[in-house]
Amino acid sequence: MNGKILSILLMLLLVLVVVSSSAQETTKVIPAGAKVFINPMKDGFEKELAAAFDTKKVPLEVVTEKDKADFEITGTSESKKAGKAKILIRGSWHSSEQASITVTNLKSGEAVWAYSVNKSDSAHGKRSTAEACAKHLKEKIESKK
Amino acid sequence: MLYRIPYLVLLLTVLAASAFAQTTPSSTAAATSAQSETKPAPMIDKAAPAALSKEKIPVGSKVYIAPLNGYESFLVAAIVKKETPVVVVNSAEKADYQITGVSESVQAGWAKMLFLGSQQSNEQASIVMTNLKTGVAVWGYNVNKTNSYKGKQSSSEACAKHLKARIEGRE
Repeated sequence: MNGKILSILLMLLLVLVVVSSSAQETTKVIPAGAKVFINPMKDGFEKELAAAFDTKKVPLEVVTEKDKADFEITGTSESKKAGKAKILIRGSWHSSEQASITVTNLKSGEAVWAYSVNKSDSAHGKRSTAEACAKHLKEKIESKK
Repeated sequence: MLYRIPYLVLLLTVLAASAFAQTTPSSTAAATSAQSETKPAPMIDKAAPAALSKEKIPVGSKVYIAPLNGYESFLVAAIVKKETPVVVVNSAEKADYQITGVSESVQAGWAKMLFLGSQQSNEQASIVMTNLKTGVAVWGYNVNKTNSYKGKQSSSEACAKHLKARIEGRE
């Protein structure tokens, strides 16, 4: 009799563990088609990002009002044009770019995904970094993890 | 032809001297200010950090990263990449801990490119993690990379790696 109760209790415990772990996992998921608001960023990087979402076909809906969004994107970007020294010594006129974005669930307030990119010779300036962010975000959404 | 050599040597010396002057303005300024001050610099109590580091940071703690002039975004990305076991939240009210700090970047100048052949930036950052309930700083870390391969990304990943080690009890 005691053995049965013990086994039932163990089963219940197992179910609880599985349920709680799956609940934790789902909070990190970005569902395809989710509404996302892109906050204004330095040097208008939010526009580059929105364009990159379109180019890379990221399955998200960009909204212009934060109240209508499920997720928000915050971040920063930095750009440095090639100086004379870089052009003369390294023979490169491409800019150095770095950017970082964070996707936050607006209901829970938790950061669900983030990515940073650094390109010392960016072929298309900000467009390259924005497209790198978009590509990796698409991968994250499609992985459903 | 040979009479040109001293001129070349002189030119190179002037270039090297100007490059040195360009790269170390802060150190010389610090040296002059140190000389002018008669009062000795305050001693840093080395026991304090050891006392701060006793508190255990639980796995899954909610952390709020205060604005660090854009560096906070790199830090979140690094925490995700290094799989640091904390949950980053967007408000201090929802958090158990808060991260504050400072970061600084210096791009490679022409002298660094010419003499060292490096176009990598110099990065330094310092972050402090504070328990919001007790107000006690539980962890702090600073990083300095003279040739940062990926700029701010490298320094933030160093911070995230060490935070992970601290939470897992390896540091």
